[in-house]
Amino acid sequence: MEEDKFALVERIIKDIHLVLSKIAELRAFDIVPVDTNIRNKSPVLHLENCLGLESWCIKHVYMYSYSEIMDKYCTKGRRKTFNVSLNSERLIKLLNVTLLLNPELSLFWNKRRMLVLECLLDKIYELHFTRLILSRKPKCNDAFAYRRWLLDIMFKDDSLQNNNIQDIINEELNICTLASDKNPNNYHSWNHRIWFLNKLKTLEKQFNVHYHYIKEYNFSEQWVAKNVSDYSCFHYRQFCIKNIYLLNDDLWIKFTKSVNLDLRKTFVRILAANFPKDSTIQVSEDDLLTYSENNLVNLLLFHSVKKCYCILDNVLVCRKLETLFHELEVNNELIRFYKHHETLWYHRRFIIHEIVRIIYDHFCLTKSNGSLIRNTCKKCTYDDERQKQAKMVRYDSNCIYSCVLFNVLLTHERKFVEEMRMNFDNYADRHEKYLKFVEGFNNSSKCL
Amino acid sequence: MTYSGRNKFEIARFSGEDENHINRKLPKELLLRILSYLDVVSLCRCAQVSKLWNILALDGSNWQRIDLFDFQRDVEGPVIENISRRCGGFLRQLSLRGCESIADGSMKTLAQSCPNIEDLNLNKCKKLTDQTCQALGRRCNKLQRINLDSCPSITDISLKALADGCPLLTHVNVSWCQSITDNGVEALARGCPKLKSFICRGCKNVNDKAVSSLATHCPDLEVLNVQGCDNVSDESISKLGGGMRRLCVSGCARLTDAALAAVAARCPALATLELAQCSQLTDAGFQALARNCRMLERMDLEECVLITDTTLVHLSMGCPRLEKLTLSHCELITDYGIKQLSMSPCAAEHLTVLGLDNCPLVTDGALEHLTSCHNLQLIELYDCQMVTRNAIRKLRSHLPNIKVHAYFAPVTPPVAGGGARPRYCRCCNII
Repeated sequence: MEEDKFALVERIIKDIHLVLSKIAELRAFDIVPVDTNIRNKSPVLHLENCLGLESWCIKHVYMYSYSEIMDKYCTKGRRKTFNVSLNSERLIKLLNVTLLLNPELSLFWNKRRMLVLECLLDKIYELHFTRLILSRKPKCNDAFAYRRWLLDIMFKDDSLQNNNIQDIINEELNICTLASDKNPNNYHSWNHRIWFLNKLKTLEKQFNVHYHYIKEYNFSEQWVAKNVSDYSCFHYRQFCIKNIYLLNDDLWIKFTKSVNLDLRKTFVRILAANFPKDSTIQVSEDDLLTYSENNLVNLLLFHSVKKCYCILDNVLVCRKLETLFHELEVNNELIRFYKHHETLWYHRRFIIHEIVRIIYDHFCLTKSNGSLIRNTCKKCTYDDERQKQAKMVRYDSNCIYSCVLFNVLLTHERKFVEEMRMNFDNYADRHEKYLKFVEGFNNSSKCL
Repeated sequence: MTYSGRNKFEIARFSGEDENHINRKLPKELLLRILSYLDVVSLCRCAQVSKLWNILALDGSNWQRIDLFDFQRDVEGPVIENISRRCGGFLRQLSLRGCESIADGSMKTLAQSCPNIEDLNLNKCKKLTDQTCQALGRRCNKLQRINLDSCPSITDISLKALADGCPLLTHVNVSWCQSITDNGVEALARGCPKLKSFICRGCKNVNDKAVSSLATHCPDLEVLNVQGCDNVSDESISKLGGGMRRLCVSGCARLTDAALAAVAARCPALATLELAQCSQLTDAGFQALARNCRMLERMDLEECVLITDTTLVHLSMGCPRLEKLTLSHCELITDYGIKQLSMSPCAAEHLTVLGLDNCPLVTDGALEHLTSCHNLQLIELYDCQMVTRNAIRKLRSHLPNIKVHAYFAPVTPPVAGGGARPRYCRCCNII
């Protein structure tokens, strides 16, 4: 009986291996719940590029292949210089089966790494294999880590062709999208996506990664709109927003075209609606539209306390603000539409924090341990006050709390929190507290 | 006795010093004789006993037949060079199966030092090239058997060198040496008329010309394996001579009934015939075969999709010695054919292995008929979806030692003894 069982398992492993030989076409693998097999039928199902395995055989196949690998290929005994190439085909077969059934086995993934380094496994095959694994377990970190390892090696290889890179990029982003789609809050897939874009940035030889920044920005905007509770994709969204800062002039134009929205208009509309009433300058929306970037930033952050004479890039500051206020507007709508979603409020905190940081940067300040500290200019090494680094006196910090942008933001947030409170959204109160105690919005409450 | 001459002086020297009882009582010749029965590992241990034993154990006469398969990971060039120096002309048989780190250089040393070698197995020595065979052809004229399975760098040049230098060759295996073509095989056939066995699985370039020259020049040919050589057709297979015992033409999809008829007429002594994936064969061919080849013992008919129960009728009547029969993927086979088989003379005594996987028409009835095959040890039933668990159980009750391969989940025996374990710690006597 025991021998018959082994023969059955061997046969199933062989059947799986046959299907896996066409791995480039395989799209998905899963275990089909069949508790008892009444008929004498193969548990390996192969239909339209999908591989299935009936659940009744899992226990036997897994135990068999796992123990064989552990017994024969993972012994650390007298013979340490064990030559895997000896029976690598058998090992690969068993590894394939075991990892398909249980991909959370770092030891076996390391065995695969060893085989790849000895050129006994093809890297492209491995990419296909991990894709198959991820189709069943989209949260498998071992598989993602293995992919990263493979891609690292592949990108180091100079013979990689440009169009091959393009294929790899498409494939990788596609896989991340699928994995994120299958499993909400898939930290691993979004993390992998961030790693991949950062990796592309370090390559940057034959292609421009900035196009992908724009693409990913638009992609993530659509994605977060559909997955309002997925904090992992919001984290990715934040990564995309920061990447947008890096675009140059040409690409910025391209970017503004691609979003199908006049970013400046959104920005100016929020400004005009929340302009401080006691301000000496009264402006209408149309007026603001005519301002150049430089003038607009000067208007919003009129007071600069810089001691050095470096020219601030007001155009960049303006672009950052446009992006962030667009994000704020999108966030408003999402919160109005999807009530009681904590993730959306956390994302809002990020936006506010970014805007406040721009203001701090403008005044050469940083926040440390809850108190504001004068920072040295980032561009020149002007640091006459470095020794002091004292806590800022009230008078100095007033320049922040009196600048137009800060007040616009304050008014806007007040209004929004009030509106949400009417809708019984509990997170509104928490947001107000956050603004008060973390971002220091209470310091200027007397202004209102 | 045969210890090599150059050691005589040393033996005399060391045996004089040696005070051990065994060495004083036994003459060196007898010691040597005893050592000659030991295996490689024991010999190496004996060689560490004393200086005298070292000389005796490492004497070439003890090292005529060496198989290094168990040490394949450790064997490297210098090992082979040492062995060839020690053994010299004594070496008859050497197996380096799986010793992948062996290269041409050490094989050249071997060929020079051991001219009397008769049997050389180089299976999977992937680094070896034609230079090895050229050296063998120059020096080792007594070579009878050579196995070059899975040495991908071997080409026609090797076969020509062997044909020129080793006329005594009887067994040649060049499977998966994909560069081999009809030119090399023809040279071999002309140079080695004593050839009995030629195996070239997976050599895509071996064609009719190659097989024809083997058939013409090697009258003693008994074994031919051209599995996967899909250029081979009826023309050459029909020329094979009467000595044939084993023929494997699996994967030669161009073969038709004409080849079977010719084989039937010319090779009455055929014992093994493998015809997997020869999908053009029909009942007519097997009728002719069964009429003449009465010695057939093993047949592989996997994916001969056209054959029906009629073939089984012919086989059961014509081949009383049939032991092993594979009918995988022969989708037209039904219970009737199995019934005929089980009633045949071969069934009761000889039939041991029967492959019926992927025969969709086979049902429980077939298994009932097979209960009369007392010698049946293995039956394959994968994907025979009409076969039920009950029928298998019944078959097992009739033939208790049979192995049944099917896709039924193994019945896990109830967990026994697990609860019986005492619940207290054995090492402490508190409870």
